[in-house]
Amino acid sequence: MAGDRVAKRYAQAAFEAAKSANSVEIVGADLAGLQAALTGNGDLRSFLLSPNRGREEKIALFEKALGEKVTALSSNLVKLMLEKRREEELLTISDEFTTLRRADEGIVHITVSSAIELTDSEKKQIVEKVSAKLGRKSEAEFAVDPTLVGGVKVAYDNFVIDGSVKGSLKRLRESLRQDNLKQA
Amino acid sequence: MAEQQSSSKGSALPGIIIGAILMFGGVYLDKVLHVAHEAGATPHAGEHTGQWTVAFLNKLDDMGLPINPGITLATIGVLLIVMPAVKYFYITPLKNAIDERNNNLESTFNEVETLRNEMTTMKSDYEKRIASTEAEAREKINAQIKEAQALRQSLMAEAAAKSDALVKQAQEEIASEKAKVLGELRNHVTELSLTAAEKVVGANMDTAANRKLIADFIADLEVKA
Repeated sequence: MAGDRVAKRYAQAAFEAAKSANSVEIVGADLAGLQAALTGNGDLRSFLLSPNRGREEKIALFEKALGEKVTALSSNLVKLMLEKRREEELLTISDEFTTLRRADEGIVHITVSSAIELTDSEKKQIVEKVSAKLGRKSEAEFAVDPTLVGGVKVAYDNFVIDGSVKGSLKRLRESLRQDNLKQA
Repeated sequence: MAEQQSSSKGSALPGIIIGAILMFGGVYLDKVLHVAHEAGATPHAGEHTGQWTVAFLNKLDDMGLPINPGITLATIGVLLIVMPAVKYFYITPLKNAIDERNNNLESTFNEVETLRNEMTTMKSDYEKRIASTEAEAREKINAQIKEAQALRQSLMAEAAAKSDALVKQAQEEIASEKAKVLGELRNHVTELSLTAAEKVVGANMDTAANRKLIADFIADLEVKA
């Protein structure tokens, strides 16, 4: 929890700096790439998170591996966090930055789950219709969930539009249980 | 007692003196009369009287009553002297003893009477106490009986109420258990049916059917929007 607060502060500072420099998209992409690298590369993650490694050593490795692939703003942010011993927050700062960016741009994040992979057309239609329904731009995250059996489920903020077979059966089950309770 | 004896001494003194006079006078008279009788002579003083006295005495003697006035007087004098002594040494102690005895008897009788009264009082008290105790015991027994009867009724009523409550509770529990079991049975049947339905749907859900569902969802989404 304390780590989340720290990550939010760093993300807030980075977002404000990126917005002033009109480089929110690029910095966001840098942080997403960094997060993907840390998540996908176990050795890199272990090295950066290890308490036995010195700050200079970690900064040197970062510069060597990613220093030239990211913007100066992103590079400075990562170096600062490494100097302040905030390596743990590198894993979550991208999400916090994205949240800030979406809030700033009025974008709603939706999660679309389906039993089979959606076609591009289907994805596009869903995003457009949800954006139209909400009256805001939306960014979608698509996932395949075979437990849904069939159909699609869309989740955003605290709402869910459930068009899956699993959801239908679940609602039917609840309805029957309610009927049973009323009969009892 | 000593005071009484001294007073009797004082009162006896004139008698003793009189007795002594009579005794000595009687002896003297007897001597004079004896001398006169034997001598047949008239005494010097009161000659006429002495003759008459001797004649009278002789006449009495002839009649079978030989009285000697001197001896009689002397005897009376002796009696008068002896009487106080008898009274002092015999009658007074005897009287005192009798009085004391009477007093003791009276005291004993009084004591007996007192004891008898006390006994009567105690007997009366005892009888009253027994009567009171009996009445109290009877009252207590009656009260205990009433209390026992009330308790019995209360216990019976309580037992009946408890019994009714238990029966009612048992009926309610049976009904509740029945409803619960029926509900569980319904839920179980529902669960089995839905699980079977899910498996059947899953087994029959091919890509085409899934695409149809997705298309329907997108169309519904438009309607909802």
